[in-house]
Amino acid sequence: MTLDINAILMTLSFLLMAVTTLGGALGVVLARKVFHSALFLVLSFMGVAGLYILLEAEFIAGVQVMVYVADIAVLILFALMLTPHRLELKHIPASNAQRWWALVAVVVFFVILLLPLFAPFFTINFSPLGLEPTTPVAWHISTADPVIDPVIEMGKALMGPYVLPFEVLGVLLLAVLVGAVFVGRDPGRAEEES
Amino acid sequence: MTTSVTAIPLAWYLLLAAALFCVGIYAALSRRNAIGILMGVELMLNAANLNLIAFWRYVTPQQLTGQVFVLFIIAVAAAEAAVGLALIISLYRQRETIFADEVDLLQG
Repeated sequence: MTLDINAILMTLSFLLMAVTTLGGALGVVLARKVFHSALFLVLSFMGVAGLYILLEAEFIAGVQVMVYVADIAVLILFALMLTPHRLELKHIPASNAQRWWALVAVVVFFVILLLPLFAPFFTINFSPLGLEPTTPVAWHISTADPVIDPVIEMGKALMGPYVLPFEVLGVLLLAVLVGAVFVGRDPGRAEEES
Repeated sequence: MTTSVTAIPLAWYLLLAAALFCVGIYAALSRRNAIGILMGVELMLNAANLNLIAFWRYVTPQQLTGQVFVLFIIAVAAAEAAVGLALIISLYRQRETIFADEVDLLQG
């Protein structure tokens, strides 16, 4: 087997992005200050955007950067600034009383999620019960090239088969806009001004 | 010609997404700060999106269903974050706290 420089580079960039994503996510969980959590969250989002580029979904990567990094992260930082807090004093715990149970539950859930990936090693033989042995169904991996011009095709798809969800999404965003302003307003000041 | 499909197995992406999802769950379950809980939810949504894009690239790269789906999820996630943070700010105005375990009006 000859060394394939392309494959090595791709594997390396996958590992880099994976470490960025997971490291950022762990930083979100472990950071004491919520502000630091928000910054780690941005790191994690950027890692996911890199993975999208590696998966040749460049448009989605751009959307990820614009919506998650620029929009949601800034929203979170604004919310942090708007809620001045006594939060990060040393004697106030950052995580709640159920964190150990949460850790146990999450680890169990992770193992359950992993089981299908290792399904070939865990095939259960039901033949004593008179059942057929379970055969894991593999996904049919396609080596075809992705769509040539995904942005144009996506525009056509959004105006064609997906037009109803697209319209519903527009209504949802409008409702969210109005609702967020209504919920987030200062009731005291609203009475003063009226 | 080596592509990322032949270089990296699909299972790696699934593994990464599973780990990301679990970290998100842990953040949502263990953080006291309500904004931290929202961050956990965002991490979980990202993990789901990563799975969808990976399956799109590896299984049905000729159709755009996966990408369109992710686009919708991102838009809904942005809406969810906006409403969630508005609720948190409103909560802070009324209760002077954004610790989720101190908001126990419904506790008997």
